[in-house]
Amino acid sequence: MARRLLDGDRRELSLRAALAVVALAGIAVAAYLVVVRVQGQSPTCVVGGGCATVQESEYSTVLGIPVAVLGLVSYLGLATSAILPGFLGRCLGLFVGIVAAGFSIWLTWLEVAVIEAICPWCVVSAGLSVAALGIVVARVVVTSPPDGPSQAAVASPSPARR
Amino acid sequence: MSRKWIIRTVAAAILVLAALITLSACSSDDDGGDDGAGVTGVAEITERFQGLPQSGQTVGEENAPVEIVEYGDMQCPFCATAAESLNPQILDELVRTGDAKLTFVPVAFIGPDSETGALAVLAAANQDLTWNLTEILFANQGDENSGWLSEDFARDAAAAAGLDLATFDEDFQADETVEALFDSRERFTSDEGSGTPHYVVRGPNGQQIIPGQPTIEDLQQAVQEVS
Repeated sequence: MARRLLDGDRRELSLRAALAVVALAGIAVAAYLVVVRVQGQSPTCVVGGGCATVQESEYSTVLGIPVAVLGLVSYLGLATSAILPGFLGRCLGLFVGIVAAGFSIWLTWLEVAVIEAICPWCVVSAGLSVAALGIVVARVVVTSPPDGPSQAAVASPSPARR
Repeated sequence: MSRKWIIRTVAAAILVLAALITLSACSSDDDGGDDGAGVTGVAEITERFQGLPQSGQTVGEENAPVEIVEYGDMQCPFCATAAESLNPQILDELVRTGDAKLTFVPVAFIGPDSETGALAVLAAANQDLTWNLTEILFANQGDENSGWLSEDFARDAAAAAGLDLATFDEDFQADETVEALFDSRERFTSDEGSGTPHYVVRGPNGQQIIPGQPTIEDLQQAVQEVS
């Protein structure tokens, strides 16, 4: 049992490290998009030419906040969750991971179906978000009790059970 | 992490995600059809040129036997009408069929806004998007010399057309672009231009000059005669 817990800790540590790497890459991409937005420039499109169209589209802001800023905040949240050990880190990671990946998928769909232009930076960011979600889910799975009632149920049974 | 907390976290995340997507979708509705920074008509124009090769100021197959040259001033209302009604017909009936290619040559004689527009569409030639930008500017044309075609608006339109703005800014300021505008004026004069729009149809069997806005039938006949 102790060995199993130790293995779980090691795996969680590896997943936290992987999450930190993905979050840092995401921070770099999002920070670049924020900087060019603030400077009123268009992102350098390494592949294709849809960066300006996407950046200038009406979908590039939510309540006046550029989505690049939202992306930066989400990657900072993921990085924080990678640093935080235990329950708080896993909870924060799962929450931010779902929101970031879900919203990135929505934005990618908008690029393809509505804006009809692809920004490679946004696609990379979407890929990183989905990868981060995979890692945080794996982190939750690795640390979940294998069988039987959950730890919370064991520690404090619900009133209905009492 | 207990199952209870996983469910709570996932539920909270889905709620926030749904709110974000709703806000994102609503923010586009509020814009009333603008395609970013007050530029309208972009989607329709982008679709108009989809599947057509563009090179510099020309749209259509490079080896098309006939070239139709359109001279236009970005402030000319008749050019805007031609862009909306005639050019889609030219694209569908002469360019997509491979019978002709269409070249836009900007001239600037109405006022300062004309010059800004001409430099913008010439700068767009370096990214092979002259036609997209030209049609977007015509679709958003304002009153003559009212200052509607500012450099900022040209940039917004360029971004909406899909141009890389850093490259566009450089090309817009480049001496080569100014020289290209002088060359355009010389071409216009040598093609007997005195007003816009002004069309010239060139092929292996000569050329025909058509001042003003022709009908699609006029152009089809001219293309046939010079082919």
